[in-house]
Amino acid sequence: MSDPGTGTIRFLPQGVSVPVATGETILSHAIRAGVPLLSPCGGEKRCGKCRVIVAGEAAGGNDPGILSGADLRAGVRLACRCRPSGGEDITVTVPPESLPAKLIAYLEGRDLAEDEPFLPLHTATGGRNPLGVALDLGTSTLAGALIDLVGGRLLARTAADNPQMSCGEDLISRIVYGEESEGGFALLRQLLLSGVEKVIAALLRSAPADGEIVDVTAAGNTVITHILYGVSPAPIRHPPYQPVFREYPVRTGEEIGSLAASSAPWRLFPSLGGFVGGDIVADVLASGMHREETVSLLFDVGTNGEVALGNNEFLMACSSSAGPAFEGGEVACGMRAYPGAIESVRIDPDTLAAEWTVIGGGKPLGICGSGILDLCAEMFRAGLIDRAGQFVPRTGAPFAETARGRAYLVASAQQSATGSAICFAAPDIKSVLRTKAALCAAADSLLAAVGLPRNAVERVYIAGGFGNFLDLRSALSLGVFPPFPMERYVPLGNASLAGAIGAIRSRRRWKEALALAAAATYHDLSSDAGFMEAFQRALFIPHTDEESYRTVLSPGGGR
Amino acid sequence: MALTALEIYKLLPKTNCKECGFPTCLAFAMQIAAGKAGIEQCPPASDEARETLGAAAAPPLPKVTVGSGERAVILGDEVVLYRHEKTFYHPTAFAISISDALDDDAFGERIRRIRALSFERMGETLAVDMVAVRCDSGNAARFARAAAAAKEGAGLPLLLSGPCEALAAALPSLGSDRPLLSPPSGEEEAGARLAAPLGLPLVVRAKGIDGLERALNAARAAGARDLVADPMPASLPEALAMSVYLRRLAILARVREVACPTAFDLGNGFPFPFAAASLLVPKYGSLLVLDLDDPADLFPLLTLRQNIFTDPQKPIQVEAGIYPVGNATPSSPVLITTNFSLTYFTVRSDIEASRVPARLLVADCDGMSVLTAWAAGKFSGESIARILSESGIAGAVSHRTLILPGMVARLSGKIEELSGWRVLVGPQESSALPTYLRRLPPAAFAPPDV
Repeated sequence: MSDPGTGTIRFLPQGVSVPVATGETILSHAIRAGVPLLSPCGGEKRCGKCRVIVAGEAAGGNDPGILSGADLRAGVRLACRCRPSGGEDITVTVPPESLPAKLIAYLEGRDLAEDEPFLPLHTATGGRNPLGVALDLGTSTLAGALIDLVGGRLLARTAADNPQMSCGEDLISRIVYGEESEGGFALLRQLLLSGVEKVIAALLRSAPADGEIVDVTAAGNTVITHILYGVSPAPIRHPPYQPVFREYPVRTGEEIGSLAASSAPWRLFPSLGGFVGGDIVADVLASGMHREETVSLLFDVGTNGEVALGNNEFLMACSSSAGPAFEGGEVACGMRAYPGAIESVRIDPDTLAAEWTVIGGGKPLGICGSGILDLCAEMFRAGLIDRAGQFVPRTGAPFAETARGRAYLVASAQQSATGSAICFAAPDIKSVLRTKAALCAAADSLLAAVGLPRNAVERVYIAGGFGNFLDLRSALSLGVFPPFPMERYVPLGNASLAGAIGAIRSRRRWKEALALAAAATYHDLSSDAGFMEAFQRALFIPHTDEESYRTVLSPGGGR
Repeated sequence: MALTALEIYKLLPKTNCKECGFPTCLAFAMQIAAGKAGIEQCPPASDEARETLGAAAAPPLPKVTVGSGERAVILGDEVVLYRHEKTFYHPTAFAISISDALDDDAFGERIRRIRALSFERMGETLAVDMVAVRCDSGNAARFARAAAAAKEGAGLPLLLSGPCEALAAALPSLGSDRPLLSPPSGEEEAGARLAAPLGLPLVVRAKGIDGLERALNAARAAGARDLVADPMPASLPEALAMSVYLRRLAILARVREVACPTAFDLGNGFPFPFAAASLLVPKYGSLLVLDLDDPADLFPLLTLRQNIFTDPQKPIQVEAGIYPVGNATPSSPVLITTNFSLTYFTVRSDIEASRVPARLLVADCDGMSVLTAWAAGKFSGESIARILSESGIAGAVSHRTLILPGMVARLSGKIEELSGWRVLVGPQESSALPTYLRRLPPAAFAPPDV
């Protein structure tokens, strides 16, 4: 940490000011001020994306290799290299292209049950400022939050890619990797820890000088939690498909292998089963559905899809084994919700050409989940694909014959940022349909398992970053979720992180999480005879039960 | 009406004490709702729960066992009205009739014909289940001899059909074999008194639902427990209607009085017996008595029965092995997939659509699809390499190139390493196979350089 200067740094258009800390970069000031600033490389001075306009005395960040002469004359600097000189007030304007429009979706989550008094479990530090770290360990993304344990204030949030991605996109691939390569699980653990350390380090840039992490909560799926514990998750993949742990004894950071929070106790959210982990427990905790008398459904739409059903009397959860299509996986032109991703699509009914918006503006690199949903819904609406997801021959439609079969041309080679066309091919549509059918069928199977009709569900929570910005109308016209009236859907965002934060802030809520996990029932869809049938029905757009979807999508929403 | 899992759960202690052997009370409630567990497995259950759930958990259609030992036949004990709701558990039993009025030669010939009604299909033996001995002679002693001879000759459980005095004569020698007694309509009380001391199953015959209800109650009052109902239809439509009514009353309305397995006598001049049997196999006939003994009649009926009573919850598998498609030559491509029948038929028809002759290797993966089998570790580099060396495919082709489903492209390295075969990664979707196969350069399947 550096010395506080006398001046302040003011960010526009957010209008937030923080005191200047001499020697610190504008990027770390921005993080401390809670100003979202694009830095895909994580402040490692590689990407040149954190462009800001600086008015006032500051040095560095004027790299001519990255910034043009015109940029430099306009006062553009790179926030990760530019440091205010300290004595004077300066103003930093964040141009729109440097705002990570949707990245925040991986962090922002609603905690609907946050009503417990601030009463953290651990505070003792021997005079230093106690801090808590809440982690959401996702298959694709690691997210974290830093909480001041004196006042309960949220100091910072950050996210990074899970470095395990290089060992497989989905959990099964990672288990296979761990089993089949020499020292595979050790490497997976090492990669995970490096990612976690990176997240904690980024959070600590916003910590007060005398801060010390005294408490960590982490919500992750069962596979990742096992790996973090240094225990092979392989049993999950083999009969009888049981995890080694469902509850994780508290260990210190040192035992876990974390240097950044080595003395703090790490509390890991308990798992419900092999493929329903602590992240779902944290989701439920944040949704508050376990306190309500009315029955709710909760979808966690991430790399895997999990579904929970319950109220204050019961809770049942399952893994839908939905693919990562909504995270941009399994789709040739798919990508995550990063700058350059097409986030929404409309198809002109006359020209049949696609119009789109790109996160951060500019030319598109690919399509992220919300764009993929829009695209499929629009192709169906425009009559370019039929109910089974097959292309319908139409004159004038921008179809292309590719190596992967017929494809809809979303952006031509000239229009795209990569120089090659962005095409959505038949296998991509199949992949989206499988993912959506698995989610929808999982919910129907849970309802059937406990014997509840659809109309018993009064609220539908959608957790996962994706839920924050998906177009619900597109999702319903495609049949991603069961046909509930639109106003019953409540997007939660990253509820898993929100739940982990809640458990840091309140010891009662941590107990609540343990209790709800202990009482919950894991439903194994692979032994549910009805699932396959529900899945087949949901493979159509929107579903074989077209009528119910038409009702909820009609004006009035089926109320 | 049956209780839902959630309704049952509300009656349970909700402590998740695990004494029932299930992880949570809700999981246990689901098992009760599915008829796979009973409230007696829950020691802390309240009296109210026991009372409510004890009644709800009794099977809607009682089970009646006929015969003993390996060839014993189970009638009834079904829980759903439609096969796709779960499965049908106990196949319709076929009893072939034999008359006690036949002379010895004709009797022996008839027994021989009954024994011959046995076929192999899809790895299973299909055969008739029972012999129905009819008392046509009016002579109790002759009937008893005929019944003993039928038992001796056919080795199958017996249906004994005749007046009570004839049945009584047959029981001393056959009573321990648990025959099914079928006295004429009106003799149910006398029949019940015969059946009750030996605990034998009894067919109660009466016209119409009301008539059946009265007769069944009378038989119960006389001490009989294991009852089978025969509504005595005179025509095919009446038989179908009565069978459906009785099963719906048992499963949907839970009317205990008439909830019994059913028996239909389609012999003795019943019109269109073959057509009636083919309707009553899918529609709830528990036991069909036929005079037919021609294999040409029985084989289709037994095939129909096999199809209807296959568990739809279990994936249907094809046999692992090498399947040539088209006029495959030694230089034709070799593809591999799993033995889930849906996967196999899809891949096979897509290969056929390509008009490229090929060989399809089918791996034994317990009937799982490609990705499922991969996820469960049953379709791995090791298992595929083993198939390449053990299936005999190497002797059937002149090349060493395998086309792998695109979904498991990641296995290619391991397969090449272990087997020495070259792996081409095929399309992810089977539907892309026709284009893929047509574009394959023939050089890909040239013999390996030696």
